[in-house]
Amino acid sequence: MKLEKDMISNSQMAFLLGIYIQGAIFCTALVFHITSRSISLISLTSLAVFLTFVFVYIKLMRLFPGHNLMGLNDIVFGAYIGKAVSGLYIFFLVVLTVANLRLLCDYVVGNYMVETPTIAIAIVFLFVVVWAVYAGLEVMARIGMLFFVIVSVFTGVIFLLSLSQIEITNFLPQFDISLIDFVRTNHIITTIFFGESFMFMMFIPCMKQQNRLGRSLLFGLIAGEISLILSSLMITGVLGDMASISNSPLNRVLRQVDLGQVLSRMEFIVTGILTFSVFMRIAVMYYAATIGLGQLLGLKSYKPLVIPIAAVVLGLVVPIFYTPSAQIACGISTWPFFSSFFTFVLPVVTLLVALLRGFFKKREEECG
Amino acid sequence: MKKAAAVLLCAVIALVAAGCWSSGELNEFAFVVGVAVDQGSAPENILLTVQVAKPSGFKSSINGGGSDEEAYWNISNEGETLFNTVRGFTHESGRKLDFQHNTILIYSRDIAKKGLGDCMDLFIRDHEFRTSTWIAIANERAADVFGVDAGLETLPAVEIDKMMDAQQYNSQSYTIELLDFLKRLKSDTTAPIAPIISIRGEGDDQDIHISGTAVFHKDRFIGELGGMETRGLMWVTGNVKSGIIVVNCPCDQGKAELEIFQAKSTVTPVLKDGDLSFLIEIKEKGNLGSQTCRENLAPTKKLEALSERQNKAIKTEIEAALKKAQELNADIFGFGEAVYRKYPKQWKSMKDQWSEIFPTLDVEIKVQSEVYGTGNITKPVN
Repeated sequence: MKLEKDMISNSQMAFLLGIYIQGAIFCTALVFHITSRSISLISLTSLAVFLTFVFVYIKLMRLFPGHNLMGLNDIVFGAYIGKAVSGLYIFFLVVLTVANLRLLCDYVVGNYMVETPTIAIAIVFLFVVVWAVYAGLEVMARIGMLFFVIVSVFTGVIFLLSLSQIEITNFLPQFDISLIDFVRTNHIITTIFFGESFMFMMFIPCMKQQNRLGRSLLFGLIAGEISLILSSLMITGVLGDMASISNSPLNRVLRQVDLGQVLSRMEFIVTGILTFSVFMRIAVMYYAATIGLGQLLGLKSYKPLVIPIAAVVLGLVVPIFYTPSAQIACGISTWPFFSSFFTFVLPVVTLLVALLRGFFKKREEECG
Repeated sequence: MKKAAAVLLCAVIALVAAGCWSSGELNEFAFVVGVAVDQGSAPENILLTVQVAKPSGFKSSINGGGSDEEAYWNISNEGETLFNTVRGFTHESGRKLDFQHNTILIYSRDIAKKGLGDCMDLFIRDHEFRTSTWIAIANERAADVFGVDAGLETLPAVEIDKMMDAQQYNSQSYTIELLDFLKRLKSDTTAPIAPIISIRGEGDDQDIHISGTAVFHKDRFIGELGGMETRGLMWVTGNVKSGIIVVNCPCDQGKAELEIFQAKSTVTPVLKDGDLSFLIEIKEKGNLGSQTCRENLAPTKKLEALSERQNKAIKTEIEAALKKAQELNADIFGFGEAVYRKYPKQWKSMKDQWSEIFPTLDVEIKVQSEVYGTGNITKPVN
């Protein structure tokens, strides 16, 4: 039994996925610490790799129509193991929410409000997220469409304004990185930028036209990817190798961009706009965790869980990483492997178990 | 009940969102517009001077009101480390210094010779500083530059900021922002450079003068380029935007001044049979701006003759810059990076020997310039 009753259109789902991917814009520091010249092209190869996993997600959704990720766990693994697997997913979603909230807080504290405690930023931000989650999927999807357009327009404008400072030589030579670094960078982008969108399996049953699922997901991924490519082009083109030592290369680029002597020092406004995408990213994660837990506990509504989960998130947001540098170090080394288990390994295992338990045949028989 | 809760929630958010911890009023800050770093009284000390804008000194443009006091305050502090010295200013200033509006960072030649690395980290690390700030090397004490009358502007630091922008019209100073300086510093082979700022005249007739370029090995000052050599460098890096080239008239009885209005450069490393050489191609387009000779220079043949002379002048400037760079063994042109971009595999074996390869590099220079227009007249007035 899924708790989400709202239905959203395919385009809303696509834009929600698009803004979710855009929300990874503040994670760019992770990959620029490894290499700076080839990020834009590597993000394309990462997208190609991720599309193979999207195939797995779609296959699972089509195998168990009307069931979300938690529902299909119960069917594939049985009541007990299924609930344990769902519990793991919920744990990951909560940790993911905490990590993303912390990243945003560190960005704001590190660059703008240096004397403000991290927890104060987290509380303010979480208020808004909680509000959005209370409003439900349909409202979030509608806001997502609007925010996607705003963030895309601003990303495009900033890209155009930065063109005069972009040096083509900063991109050359392309792919002059070791195979290990290439794989590492791909792994980070595939998991953190794209892979963590696996949680859309919680919402896919709420999409009106299930037969156009693949097209909607592909549109969302490509739309988000375009913003990521533009921002990585800006960072590499303007900062060159300096991007590799910056905690927030995006902010450094925004501080460089002026419109002649008319409009300068506008990074605060642009950051504020880009924060819309991170807000949506965190809200989607939070929402997935909340409805997942509600479903696991057999509640009639997810709403009683919104505040308790907020308390857990707030309790973890400061202690989860000792320092901002520790989060970046974790994001480069440990996190991609931790995340891969939930985003890639578990869904593939689920599909294999479904195959072994004959769900493919059953589905074929049902469909005639 | 729900409405009351919503109002309460909004009030709490508004209270916290105002950023109580990081809030600041304008009259709590002293806005720094220029920073100068000099050698302190002890060898391990630095002397930091900042120019702070003083709003009470600004005169009203409407009724000429305002006081006669200067619109700036130069304040110095000495210390062993940079950040501690910055915070030490609060011993003398009632307002905390704010560096968000800083326009220029000037180092004295003494500090530059010791190495800028020790006095630079803060300007990159701290959130208040911007890497779009200009950087320059002072011939004298850097702090003295902020004491010179500002000319057209109210604040000397703002005057220097405008002068830095204006250098594009002579192309004899390589003005550079902190970010570009850092990119060169971070490069394995490209030498950092910065414009040289000096004071001309004495007493009340002092002026700020920007000309020439300081050359660094890593973060240490090792030599300088004159105005002509600097433009030679700028031809190669593609930074020439405007400027005047003076050549003899074709009859050799006067001078013709040619205004540059378009320039493009291509630098191509050529690796043939293990030998590395460079081909520099310059394309330039200009106008006849002025002449002192009596002959009419408008006919095509005369303009072509001027172009020939201009080609030679540009080539001479590039050769002068190249000679100086090779003497200093400082790759100011970024040749090493160009080799890396074109031959990344071969570069790995060359990188460590670059300091031996660069001084003996064979460089071919091809200049193709065109004197296009003759201004608003077709014949000389005399």
